[in-house]
Amino acid sequence: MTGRGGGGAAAPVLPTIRRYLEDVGTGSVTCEEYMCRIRERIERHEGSLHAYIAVNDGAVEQARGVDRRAREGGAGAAGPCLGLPVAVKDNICVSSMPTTCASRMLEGYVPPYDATAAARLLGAGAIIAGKTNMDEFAMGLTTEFSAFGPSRNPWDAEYAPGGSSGGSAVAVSACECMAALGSDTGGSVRNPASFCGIVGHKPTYGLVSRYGLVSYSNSIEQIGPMGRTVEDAAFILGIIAGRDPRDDTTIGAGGGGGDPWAYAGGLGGGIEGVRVGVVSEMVDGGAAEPDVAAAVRRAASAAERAGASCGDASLGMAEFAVAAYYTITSAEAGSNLARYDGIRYGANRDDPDAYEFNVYVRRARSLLGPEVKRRMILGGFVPSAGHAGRYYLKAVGIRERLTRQVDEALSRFDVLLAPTVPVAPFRLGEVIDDPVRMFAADYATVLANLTGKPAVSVPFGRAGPSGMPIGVQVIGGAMRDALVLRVAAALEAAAGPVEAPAL
Amino acid sequence: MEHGGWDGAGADAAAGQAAEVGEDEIRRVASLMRIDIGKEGGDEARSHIEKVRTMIGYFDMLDRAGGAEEEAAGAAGAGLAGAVQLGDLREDEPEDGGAGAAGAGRYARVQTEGGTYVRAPAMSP
Repeated sequence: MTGRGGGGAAAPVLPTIRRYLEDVGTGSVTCEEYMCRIRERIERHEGSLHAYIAVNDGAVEQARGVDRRAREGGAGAAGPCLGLPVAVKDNICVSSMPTTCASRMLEGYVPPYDATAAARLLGAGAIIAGKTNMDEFAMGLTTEFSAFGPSRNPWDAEYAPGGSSGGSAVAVSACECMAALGSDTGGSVRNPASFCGIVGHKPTYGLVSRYGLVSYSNSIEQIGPMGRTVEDAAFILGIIAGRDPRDDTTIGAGGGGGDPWAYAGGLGGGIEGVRVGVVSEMVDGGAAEPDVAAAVRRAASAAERAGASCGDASLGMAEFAVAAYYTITSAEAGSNLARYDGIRYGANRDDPDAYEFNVYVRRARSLLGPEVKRRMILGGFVPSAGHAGRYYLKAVGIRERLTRQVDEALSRFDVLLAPTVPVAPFRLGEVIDDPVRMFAADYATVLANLTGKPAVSVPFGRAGPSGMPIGVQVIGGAMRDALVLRVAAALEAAAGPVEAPAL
Repeated sequence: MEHGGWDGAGADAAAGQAAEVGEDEIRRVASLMRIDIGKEGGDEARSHIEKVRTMIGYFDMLDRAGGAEEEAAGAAGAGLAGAVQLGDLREDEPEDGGAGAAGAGRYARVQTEGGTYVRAPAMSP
């Protein structure tokens, strides 16, 4: 039984991370008790929600170990996370668990190492609750392209949870974990956060290491935190952020690097004097559904009441962002996924026959799902002789011009405000056969990816007819993640008490 | 609604331009990528081709963005060592059966060492 979007809201059955740490730190509630509650939620709701691809069967035992260490050596002995149960998207390597990217191609694959983001969580004393469902190789925005079946929105199981980090969003929203990691290439953290009524943050490009993130589009994607509150997401960011010698695109400045409160600590500072620019091309003139546009305008008013000043920002190049984004990501995906040939990477076909090389690779790639195949074909097409000038190179040029335009807007405003998704959540099956409608849903999120900027989605109201959650998005300058999170915290406070679906 | 529209309003415009990319071209690229899109005329192939054409048709809006001179400068790879000029990109040909001209060269070593066929080594435990 899942909640109905029309009114099935309740207070989350799990507390904030701050409260969790107080409880476990003082021993008033043990880590084991929390983990058991989460396991009970998973067992009760996974049949209908399908947030996870794999669940950590040793989690309760690991929680007992956290309690033992805290008892014997004090709370500090169990790390700053005190056994915090965190879900991890299934394209982020965790050495003790499968990493499938929701693809038959990687079914059964257990990586021999931890991604840096996962290693930092484990090093801080978190427990990985499980690996979450996603669109295959992160290509999609509904989780319907998962080879293992879709996840369902806990607010109404008939609706898509968004994607591609849909499983992570469902697990957070349905209180099947305390927080989660997703990856965001074109909105894959923020889109499902918006659809499921939680907070999702896409960090500045380079703030979080991509080491151990299965590559889709290297120049764009980032791992990002998802939580029920802005503070929860900021707490996780503080742990996973910071320079990593294994990823030379990481940036050393900007705080984080193991201090959980580096971003969460300043959220209460208010937004007095912050200049907010509402991206008019994403709100006005029918660019967003009326309910979504109204939510953004209400959020701007709330920001003004909190002391910010608001004006309209115009980004003329935004209309080309989605086409440029899909052109660039397809080209990078075509290259990245070429490794899945069943020889170097991918399923080893246990086949007694021998095949000519090309036939063998084609047979191996038959394990890839339809959307991944299409993106690979596009990835071969857009940068190829005779087409590169018209598509790939033009997209790269547009990306540069868009970045300049966003930088110029961010010289006049401290942050930009926009919808996260221009539409309210749609039903499962509603857009899966319409690539252009799927593209259009990415309209407001790809901006931050193409330009490398930080952006956070925070719940702000519900859609009229369906009652499904709506998120608004705060975008800031590079390395100003703390500011965008502070503005999001102010909007969260204005939106009222944090809600979860009544399951 | 210049971006195509959240209600899919841009789909018609996209499909209108998609006719420029023919089925043969999509099949050729799929073959280069070693992707099997299904039998000619079959439902699977039809679905793939239709959707890829729609997607490429959508990308055609990039033509309206202007800035061609600036992009041409970028295309030349100014300042990048070893940058390949647009006109120097290699024309690829599918290597079906390894018997094509490119295939014969690329897999010559495999053929002399192991015959015409190769077996995939077991990489995972």
